[in-house]
Amino acid sequence: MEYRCVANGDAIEVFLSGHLVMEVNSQFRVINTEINGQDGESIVLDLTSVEFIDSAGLGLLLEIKANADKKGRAVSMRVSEGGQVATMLEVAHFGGVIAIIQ
Amino acid sequence: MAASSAITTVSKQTDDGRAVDLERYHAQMEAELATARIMQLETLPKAEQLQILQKNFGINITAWFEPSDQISGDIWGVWNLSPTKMAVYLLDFSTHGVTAALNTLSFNMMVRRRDKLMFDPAEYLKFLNNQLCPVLLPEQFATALYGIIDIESHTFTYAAGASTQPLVLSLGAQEIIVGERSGLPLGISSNASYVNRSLPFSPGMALFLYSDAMSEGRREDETLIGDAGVIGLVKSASVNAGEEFDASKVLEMFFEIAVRPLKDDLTVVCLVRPTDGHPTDGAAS
Repeated sequence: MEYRCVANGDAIEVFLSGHLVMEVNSQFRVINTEINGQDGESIVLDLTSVEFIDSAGLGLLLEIKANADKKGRAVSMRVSEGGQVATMLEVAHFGGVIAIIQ
Repeated sequence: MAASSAITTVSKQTDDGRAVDLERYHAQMEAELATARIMQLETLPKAEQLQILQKNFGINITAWFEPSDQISGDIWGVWNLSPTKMAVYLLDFSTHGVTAALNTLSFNMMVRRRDKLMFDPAEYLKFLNNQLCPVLLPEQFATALYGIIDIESHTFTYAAGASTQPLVLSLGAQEIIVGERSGLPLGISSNASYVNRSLPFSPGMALFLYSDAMSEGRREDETLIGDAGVIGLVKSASVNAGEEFDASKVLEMFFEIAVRPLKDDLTVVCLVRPTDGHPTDGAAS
């Protein structure tokens, strides 16, 4: 998995790519630390380049949300239509947990 | 020189001491994990229980439970609700290892408290979700399926929270019905609600439940087996085995193509209603 955090106005955009699975757990801790070190009222997770996500990967998204909740930051995610990631998020009703934006 | 040598010696002793401490720590951890594994296996249905259910309901039940490490984040169960209704569930916690295993033990205590809501899968899943929400950490959850087999109405009525798809197949045939599985996993929000869905489950049919270690398993060429791959295996096993269809027939084919060791905990539960309505001998495993 690869990532980059970019400040965009009041938002911190986190661009993720590759596979969101259990093995990238430690990278997510780094992402959370990086997010915590940046100013921003909200966080946008860009998953449009993520190729695969499993249930452990969904847990990692929740970890970012829990971290953001503590700081009163809203979290949303950007997802490509179709494909495994969109299906997984739809099956798990994750749009009701982390808002999906265009 | 003498001082340097002394320091070296002290340092070596410290290293040795740490090594011994680490060895002792690892040995203790291994022993504790072994105990946790035994405790976890105790929560699963016993062969005798399955045989009683087979006798009472005419349903052959076979299962496979394989942790990816020493202990699993999966748990499953089956029990009788009434003379004509049998409950079955399969839960898969999002994490692995000790944390997930502790969650399975905690969940086992919840599900052991029999509740009248058990007769309504959607309400019961909601109830379990509300039990789990305060227990799990924010990033933890469990995908779940809970359902009721009714041998009078020949149905399997279930509620799901992002589980894998329940598969109902006609023994000996390619026909397969793929159940809907969407729903919020358990433990994320106490506002979650679930819906009841129903599949036919008549004599001559089998119900196949599995954790996502199967569909997320990889072939040698790194390609994902996927839900379609699992459905293909189940169809082939059904055609090949006919009335002898059980969990092992699918798993034999799965293990031929899946890379081992698996990265996730694997659980498979297979419930078969033989055409004559009576269980076949020696089906429990």
